[in-house]
Amino acid sequence: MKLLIVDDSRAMRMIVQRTLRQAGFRGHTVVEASNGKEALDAIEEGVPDIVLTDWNMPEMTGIELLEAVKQKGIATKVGVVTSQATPEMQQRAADAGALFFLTKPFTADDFKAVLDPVLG
Amino acid sequence: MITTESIGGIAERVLTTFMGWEMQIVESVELDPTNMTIAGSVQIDGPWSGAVVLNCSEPVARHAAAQIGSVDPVTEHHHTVDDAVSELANMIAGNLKASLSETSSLSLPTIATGSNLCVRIADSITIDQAVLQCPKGLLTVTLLERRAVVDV
Repeated sequence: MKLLIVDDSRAMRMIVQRTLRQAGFRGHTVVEASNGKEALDAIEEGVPDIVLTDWNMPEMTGIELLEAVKQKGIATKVGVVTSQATPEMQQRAADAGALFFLTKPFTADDFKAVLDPVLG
Repeated sequence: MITTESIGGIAERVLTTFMGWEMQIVESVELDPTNMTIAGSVQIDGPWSGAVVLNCSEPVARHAAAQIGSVDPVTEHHHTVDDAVSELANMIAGNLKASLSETSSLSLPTIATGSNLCVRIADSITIDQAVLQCPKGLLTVTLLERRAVVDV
């Protein structure tokens, strides 16, 4: 499987990768993007199976990326991983077709719970 | 207070969960401001307006970067250290925001470095502050509230 991790923080991208390993998800191809626009370009070049995206990023936010993926009819699953979890944001993400909405700080168990049905 | 949980409580929860650090809020401690050489701040804008400022020493910041990225805490490039502090401030602000009005928004994190740092936002006052003991030293988290300026 191919995963795309989208976060403007390199530290957070590393944490997500480490947490994926801790959750037992190894052997997958992982690529990274530092904002929504970069991610959309990467998705259009080669559609990943799953996109894990932050919300608050420069250039293009995570929700804008999710909405663009939906609008373009791209067949990939998108999960939102953010430190800001208001009910309004969760609803907006759900409306745009988000696979899940994870709040930072997250644990390996959190990742396992939302990704097992897809990657397990 | 804008939230039922203190800023120290939020920071302790976030950092314990995320970094796996054993840490505690310390009540009375003398801080040496010359040691607190890196500050990460994130502003919150909406019906409630203010900022979260995380301030720590370089060893604490480097330890955080090392733990996040499995890198050498001594030789790690300052960009990675800045990034780690930014992300910690961002997570604390994000968790605070979750308890505020839904229409609030977070700024991107900013970093300041130097000695005797005092990070402020215009027309703001400190409404909550906590000092936390981390594995490599002390860390402070400050909640600033922006107050409307009334001309008379």
